Amino acid sequence: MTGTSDDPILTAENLRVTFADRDRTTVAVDGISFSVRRGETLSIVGESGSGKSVTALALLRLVELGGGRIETGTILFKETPDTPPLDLVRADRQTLRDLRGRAVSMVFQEPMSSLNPAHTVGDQIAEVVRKHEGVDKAEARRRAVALLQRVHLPDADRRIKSYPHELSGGMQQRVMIAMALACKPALLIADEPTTALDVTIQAGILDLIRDLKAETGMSVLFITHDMGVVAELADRVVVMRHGRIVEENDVAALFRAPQHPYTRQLLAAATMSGARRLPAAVSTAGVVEAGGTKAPLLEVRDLVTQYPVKTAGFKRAKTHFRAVDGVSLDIHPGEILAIVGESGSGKSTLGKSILRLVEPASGEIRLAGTDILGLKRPDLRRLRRHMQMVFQDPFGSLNPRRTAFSQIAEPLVIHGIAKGADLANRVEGLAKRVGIPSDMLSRYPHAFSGGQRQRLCIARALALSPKLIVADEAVSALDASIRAQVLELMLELQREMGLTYLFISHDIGVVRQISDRIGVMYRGKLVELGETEAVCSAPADAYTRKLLEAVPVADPAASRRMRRAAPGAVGLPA
Amino acid sequence: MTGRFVLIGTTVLRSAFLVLGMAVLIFFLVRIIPGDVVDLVSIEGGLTEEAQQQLRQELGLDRSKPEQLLIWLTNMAEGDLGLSVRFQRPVADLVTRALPTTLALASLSFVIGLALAIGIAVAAVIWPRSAFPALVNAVNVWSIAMPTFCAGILGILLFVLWLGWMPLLGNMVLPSLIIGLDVAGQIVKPLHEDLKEAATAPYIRTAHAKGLDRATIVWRHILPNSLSVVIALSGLIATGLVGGTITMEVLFGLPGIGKLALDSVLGRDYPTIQAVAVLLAGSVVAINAVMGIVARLFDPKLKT
Repeated sequence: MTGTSDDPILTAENLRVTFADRDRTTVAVDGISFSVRRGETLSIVGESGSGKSVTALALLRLVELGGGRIETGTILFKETPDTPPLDLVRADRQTLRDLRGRAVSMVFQEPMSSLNPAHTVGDQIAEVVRKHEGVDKAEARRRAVALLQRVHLPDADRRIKSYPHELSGGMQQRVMIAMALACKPALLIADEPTTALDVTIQAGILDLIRDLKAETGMSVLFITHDMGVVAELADRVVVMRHGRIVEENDVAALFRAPQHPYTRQLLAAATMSGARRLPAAVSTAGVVEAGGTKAPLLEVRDLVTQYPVKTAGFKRAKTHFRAVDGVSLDIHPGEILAIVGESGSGKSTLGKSILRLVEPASGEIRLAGTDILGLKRPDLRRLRRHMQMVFQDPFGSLNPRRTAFSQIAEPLVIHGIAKGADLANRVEGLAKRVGIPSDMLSRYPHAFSGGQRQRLCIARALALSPKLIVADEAVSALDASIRAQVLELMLELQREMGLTYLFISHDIGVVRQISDRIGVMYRGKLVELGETEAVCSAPADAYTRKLLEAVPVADPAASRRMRRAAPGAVGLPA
Repeated sequence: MTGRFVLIGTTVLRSAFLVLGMAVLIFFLVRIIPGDVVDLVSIEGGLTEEAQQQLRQELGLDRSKPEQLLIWLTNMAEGDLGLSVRFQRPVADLVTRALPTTLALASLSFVIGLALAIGIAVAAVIWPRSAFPALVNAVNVWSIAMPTFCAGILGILLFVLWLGWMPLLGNMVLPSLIIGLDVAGQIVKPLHEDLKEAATAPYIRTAHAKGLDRATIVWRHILPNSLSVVIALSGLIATGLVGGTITMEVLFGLPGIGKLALDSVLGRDYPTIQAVAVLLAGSVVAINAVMGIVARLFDPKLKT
């Protein structure tokens, strides 16, 4: 590889993008300037609402499809060092169409919805080749097969006849990348291409993009919210916040000496997912020492939960899918037990089974000695006071038509615990405890930010003073900096109130900071269970190792060292 | 593969039962109209009481209703639709002579309606700032507000009487256009809405990012995903056509099934009324069955 030169392939100057609503105009990108050098990988990083995706869409003027308007600025694109620069903001449709998919192509976040469900993947790839290179059907098909082989899709000959829904998320994203590469673009714009994927799948896609870039020498603009991904992939980084660029630097320099406080905050949130644990998480309950003297709060034995598998025709389903397949574990009072696994591993079903939100098929669950599975409905309802759940989507789990006050008050009212002034006092106390000012309690959920909504959900879960809280991906939907604050709150509450957490997450990085013990689930089975540090530093199970290795490390030097050590990996300039 | 056979098998079976049930219903409904064919003939020809009795016996009208029903169903199962008293010919003969006219009118109307609806809706999506979106609403309102028989009379006034462009009797073009416009009005609005919705899908953004032009994007990427709407509505509309053609046949004097139905009702011609009614009911059931199967098979998610 020749490394990056100072010759920019794309230069955005004073770019301002707005969205007009009926009565007001929102500025999504506020006069930013940056350039992508020929042959480099530039990463634009930022949290939701920073304007990074809008910037990506603005470059090919695709932002106009969603009602966005480029108000000012220029986007100068030079396909080769010798072609005269072309201002994409002022280019006509014909010119743009010729450029899109040929010289500049894009990969999007959601591979499933970004592929047309009505056409085979082969047809969708062939379409680009036919459009831009005017080849015949047979040749386009041959090219589609070759492209699918290039992105390492197994069985490419057969796969070109597949419809998108027949492929897994990782395979779909490989198809999207094949489509983007079809005409050997000079610039690839990838907008959060791995965010919707599991971490082990993400590692494969990142490797693929890196290898393809090395092979073709194309420039890459990579949009992400994940500092770990930035460290793995980028040569240079642009940090965006509120539609503006707050910092821009080489990746090594940025990670070594971040200038802007916001960058430091992002980095702090990301590097927390390294080995260090939050100080607050130091186990205080003193029961974690293996086989502690106290009896476990929750005992799960040989738990099996299964779902019927739908079969064609009008016969009743006979087969079952075992989402949880013989899981046994104990949780001690005051402990944080984390369950990690990828989508489909059964971790969420395990959480729901413990609360009997889904009915397990067999096994045993005891909460403080009481057999939960044997309980009748009214007894179960009483017992649920002691077990509360916090879900992933804080907006979806709050009723949009009820005020924050009534949402927190509801459990207290249902269980007949408090009313009148006592109720108001308790609710205000809970809100204060999770950091929601009491004057905001009369508002409806939409008036709260994502982090605040999750705080409301936590307050609601705490209302009944439960012993056990099952947090199912409770911080996954939150931006890194907000996530850190919510985790901090959860740990504080645990210390003060002696709570016990079952913390379910797909992100072993997050889990590592806060848990006492980690259980790893894979295809319904608990493949590993042990002290957090032991599991993370010396994983016994092969799958756990794979999971740990796949987590992007927010340290460019470290991730590059690892890559150099890996056989067949492509070296990058230090 | 087996799923497909199971689907078709159950649909056919269900449809057969439905038609049988309707045949029974039709049989009794026909006999609610006061007076039978013998009464009509005797008013016209002045038959004696005795001759009337004899005629009833010949036609089997003296037997009990359930007995008549059983005989009719058995004969029909054997392919014998009976004899038309009124027209003095086998009913099967009458029906086969009338059928081509009706089928031609219905399919012509349907094709015109579908072409108009898809053309206007697609154009309205490709050129959202043109007059096409307004045309979508205009055609839609027309089909809601204007009954086909009114449109038929207006059409006759305008094109036949005033402009003199076409003859009245045996005219196939004008009735097809009138029904076609009505069909188009029912499809065009929901199709346009669905197309607009589909146009915001992320995969349409992908199509733009590939550098495709608007027409290709609409035809190849948006329309195929909206066809399920057309298919679902087509079933409804095709059944509506069965009624629509009757009006037009009567209005334009076309010798089709609709005209035959009207004449046989006026003549209390039980075998013909029954045969035509079962035919119409059967075709409605058949259309729904076919549309149901097509909709399922068209969904790529069921193509595995």
